[in-house]
Parts: sequence; structure tokens; C-alpha cells
Amino acid sequence: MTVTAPAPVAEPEPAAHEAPRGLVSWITTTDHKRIGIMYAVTSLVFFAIGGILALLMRAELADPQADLLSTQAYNQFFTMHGTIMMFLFATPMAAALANYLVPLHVGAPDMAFPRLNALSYWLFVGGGLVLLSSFLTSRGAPDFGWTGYTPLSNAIYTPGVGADLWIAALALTGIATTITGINVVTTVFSLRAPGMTMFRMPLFTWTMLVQSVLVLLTFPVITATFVMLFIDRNFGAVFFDATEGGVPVLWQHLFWFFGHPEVYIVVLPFFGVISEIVPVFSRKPVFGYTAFVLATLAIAAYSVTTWAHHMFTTGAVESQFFAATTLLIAVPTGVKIFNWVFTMWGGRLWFRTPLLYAISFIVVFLIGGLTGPMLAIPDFDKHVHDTYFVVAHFHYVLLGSAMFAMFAGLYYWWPKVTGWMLRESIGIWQLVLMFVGFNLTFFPQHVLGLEGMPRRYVEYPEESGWQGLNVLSTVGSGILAVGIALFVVNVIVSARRRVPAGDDPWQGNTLEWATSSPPPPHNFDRLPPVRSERPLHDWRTDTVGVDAAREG
Amino acid sequence: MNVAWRTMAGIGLFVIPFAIVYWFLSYERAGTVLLVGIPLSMLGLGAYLLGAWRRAPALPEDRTDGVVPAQDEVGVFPSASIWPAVLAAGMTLTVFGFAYNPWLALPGLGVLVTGLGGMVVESTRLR
Repeated sequence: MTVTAPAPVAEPEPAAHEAPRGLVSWITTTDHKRIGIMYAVTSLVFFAIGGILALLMRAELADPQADLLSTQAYNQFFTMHGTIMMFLFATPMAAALANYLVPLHVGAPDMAFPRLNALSYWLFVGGGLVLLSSFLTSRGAPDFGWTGYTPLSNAIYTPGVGADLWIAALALTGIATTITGINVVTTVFSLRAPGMTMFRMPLFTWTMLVQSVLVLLTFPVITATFVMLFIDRNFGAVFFDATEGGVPVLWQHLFWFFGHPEVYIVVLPFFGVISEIVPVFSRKPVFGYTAFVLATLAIAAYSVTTWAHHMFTTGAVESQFFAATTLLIAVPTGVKIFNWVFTMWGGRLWFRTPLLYAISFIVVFLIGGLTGPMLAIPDFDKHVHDTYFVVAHFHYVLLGSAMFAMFAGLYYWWPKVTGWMLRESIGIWQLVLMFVGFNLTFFPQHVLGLEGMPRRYVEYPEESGWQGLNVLSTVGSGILAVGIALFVVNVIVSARRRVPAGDDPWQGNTLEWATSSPPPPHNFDRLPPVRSERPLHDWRTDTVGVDAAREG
Repeated sequence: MNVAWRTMAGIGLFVIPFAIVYWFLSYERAGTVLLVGIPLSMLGLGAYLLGAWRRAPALPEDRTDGVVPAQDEVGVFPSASIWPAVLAAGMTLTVFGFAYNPWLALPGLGVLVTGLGGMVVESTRLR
């Protein structure tokens, strides 16, 4: 079996300057791998900030009349928790994975636009800092919820600069995400290696392509909507002002036209992560590759037609239409569950941390997915709207998928990124604590919601009988936090006594495992021929082993 | 590229019946405009990709036989650049200024223009 030299990459002469080192080398980098690492680390920092806000809110709710947080602080915390988790953790974590993996997956030397890539990262950092700066203003951070509904978010009901900083920050991160979307789409379309047809691309790259298309369709809409709100607040426009002929519910249409596809913008990359891990640890090709791709495309198309199921209670939307489209989208989403389960079915399962996290993801996502069609029924949705049932649903779908699949991906690709392994034993303890903590936190919230406990309330009546389940939920959040913290412990322990990973510790299928760990600048010295969606498996199981071929 | 234009245009075509049904069920303008915008965007992207495929129908990445032809350079990739960080700092300061204190937007604009200029000049040199 022969290997091929990848197409040559022209590098500009560094002239008389030396290549930057140390901190400067990170600030000036245009290498997609370094940008991916910076994206991941920064997203995890924001994940920790958003998580601490959540823990404080859970502590408050353990007692019906606790005064740990003022009403104002509580409102600010749930607003910033949602905003940070959606815009500064889940979305950029997908960008982190895409930055690191897409060029490696398609056999490219870098992203199509490396400097735009760096620009998107620094805009994300800038947006994050601007958002956090709103805490330092005299009235504090905004307190109208991450959905920013008008008229609550207008200048009369939410005066002060905090809300303006929130808008400015989200405009910046919106631009950053859009730029990353452009980069991913262009990279996939124009930088694939020879033989890497579209239907041989790794499924993660497919999900990132479709996710990026969704980003390009929806993030410009929400960024423009934020600008409209800013103009309303500061320059006297009346887009959302009913007293002057504006339409407040227009905000909800525009927000959810972005907001529902955003769910898929967050979860599609993690579907891709699971679809890379499950076949490798089942020692089988993925079951139904084409069906998976078509289902992903169908999700993208359906997801832009379902937005107003978030607006049933306004009474101003065509409920039957949105109920139908929302129920329909469950079908291609369900296809993926079958893809994963039947890939494992009959496979030689290798129970290492990436697969264990992937199985946990499937369980958690299935529970969240089952309550989705329930909420698609308008009459049921009106009953539980703005209760903890909805909170439980979207935490199972969003946090469950993002968190378990993220750690699945971190444990899987960590050896490639660093060249050394994370400890399996700590990883398994982390998973057990996270799985128990997560379900203890969020499952009781289904019951609380059905019993009528509304979301976004700092207190609840002592005679309501809700305290027991709230205490359970708060204890669960503490266990979950300890579990997540174990990852940091694992990194420290594993870094002190490093176990070398080699280039391909899992016997992977895709091209990133054909290069060194960590990969060199511009990624590949040699590329194996691409004859299927598992080029490295084909290469390894042929006559020549990886190392011999690389030397050849 | 054959698959590329078909998938992009396919998403656009898929949404058209939803846009039509939605309009005649609701006569709601904002949602209909958004739903019409999807096919327009995706068919536009599909048409561009179709044009690219017609100009170069047999690209190395689309060969299914595993035979790899000799290739030209993939492209020029910058090794390091300070300008993206400068441009992002300028954009951040400008937007922060608009929200917090317009006077801060002025130096922000200065940094923004400097960063943009740096990137443009660098691009010219890379070419």
C-alpha cells in the first residue's frame, strides 16, 4: 500500500523575522489546531463561569424562602447563565472541535481562511469580556432572561448600560460564529484531499458542514435583530414598541427563527462526535452512513420551519403548522439513535472512556428527545410552558448532549492533541458522578414542572411541597460539579506522569490518526489513499502497517 | 462538487413548500419572509457551486478510484499574523464604546482601521 504526499503548501517567507514564541506565538497564531485549542480552553472557562452561576441558583432554590441571592441577582444570574452557556460555551465548543478536526478530517493543511479563523476566535474572546463587563455596571447585568423578550428588554423596563453591553457582546460573538461558519463550509468544499468525496467525509465533518450552513442562515438574522433592539433602546426606533406601531412579538419570531436552529447548531457537532467514536469502539463501520447524512440534512431543513413552537402561548402563531413540523423533525433525529445503536449491535465493543461517555450521551439525549414531541403538542405545551418541565427538557437535550459528548470527544481526541493519554480510572469516576449528578439534578425538574413550579422564580411557597425535589436537584448539581471538576484533576494527574499515546491509540478510522500526535504544522507529511469513509482502517488492514507506510 | 451543489440546493427546495403552506395558513409576514429567505440563500449557494462544478468537473477530491494525480499547490497559508487580534480588538472596543461610552468608540475605530489595513496589506503581500 502506498502513501501519497499531500499537495504542497506554500508558506510565505518569514523574512528577517524569527517565528514568534511563547505567548506572542499564541496571540498571532493562524494554525487551526492552536486556534481550536484556544477555543476549547476559553469555552471551558465560560462553562465554569456559567456553571458557578447555576450552582448559586440551585443553592438558593434548596430552601423555599432562602435569601442567599436577592431577586435582582437571581434574575441576572439566570439571564447570564443561559447567555453564557449558549453563546460562550456550547456554540464555541463546536467551533473548537471544528477548528481542530475538520482540516485533519478532510486531509487539508489548514482552514481555508486561517486569519479569518483567528479573527473569529478573538472576536469571541472580545464578546465574552464585553458580556462579563455588564456585571460591573451600576445596575448590573441584564435580568430579562437569555431570550431577551421585548418589551421587557426595552429601555423603559430594562434601563441601564448592562443590557446594551449584552447586545454588543452577542453581536460580536454572532459575527465570530458566522465567520467560523464561512470558514468551515469553504474548507469542506475546497480543501478536501484527493479521493475524499463528499460521501467519504467523516460524519463529524458532515455534521459541521450542515451546522455551518445553519449558522449562515440564522446567525445573521439574530445579529441584525440585536442591532434592531439596540437602535430601539438608544436611538428611538420602534421596531418592537407596540405604543408606536411596532410589534413586540416580532422579536419572538426573529429570536426563535435563530433560537430553534441554534439547538441543532449546538447538538449536530456532538452527534458527529458520537458518530466518530461509536464505530471505532465497536470495530465496525457506522450503520447507515448515507441515512445519517440524509437525516442530518433533513434536520437542517426542518429546523428552520419549527421556530414558533416556542410561541404557542402568545396565541399569535399557526399552532398546527408548527406542531406538525416539530413532530416531523423527531424522525430524522430518531434515525441517528438507530445509527448508533445498530453500529454497536454485534460489534466488538471496546469499553473505554470515549465509548462510555458516548453511551451516556445516547441515554441522556433519548430522555430529552422523548419530551420534545410532548412539548410539540400545543395543548400540552400551554400547560407546562415556562415551568421546570421545559427547563428539564432543554437541559437534557442541550446540556446533556453538549456535556457528555464533549467529554467523549475530549477523551477520544486528547491523545491526538497532546500526545499523551488521560487516566481511564479517573475518567470513569468522573462519568459515574456526572451521570448520577446530571439525572439527579434534572429528572426531578420534570415532576416539579408538571406540578406547576414556574421557572425563573427566586422563591416558592413553603406549602407547595416542592422543597424535597428541589433539594434533590440541588444535591445533584453539587455531585455533577464534583464530577466535572474531576476532569481537571485527571488532566493534572495525567500531565505529571505522562503515558505516551502514539499516533493512533484507538485504531481510528479517519485521517487525523494517520499523522503524528500532536500533528505537525500543516498536518500531514504523508496521506493514505482515500477509498472509503474509513481511509485509515483500509490502510491499516491492508498489507502495510501505519508506521511502515509512513516511513515508505 | 456535484454532491455539494445538490445538497445545498436540496435544502432550499425542501423549504419552499413549507413557505407556501405557512403563508396560506397564517398570512403572517415576518415568518414568511424568513422562510422565503432560506430557499433564496440556499439556491444561490447551490447555483454558485453548480457553476464551480461545471468549470472544473473532475477535481482530485472527487475521484473515486483512489488514484491520486499530481497536484498543484493547495494554496498559500500564513504562518503567523498579529492583524486578526488587532482587528478583533478594534471591533470589540468600537462596539463596547457604542454601548458604554461613545467616546471609546473613536479610538476603537482607529484600532479597527489599523487592523483592517494590516490584514489587507498582508493579504496583498501573501498573493
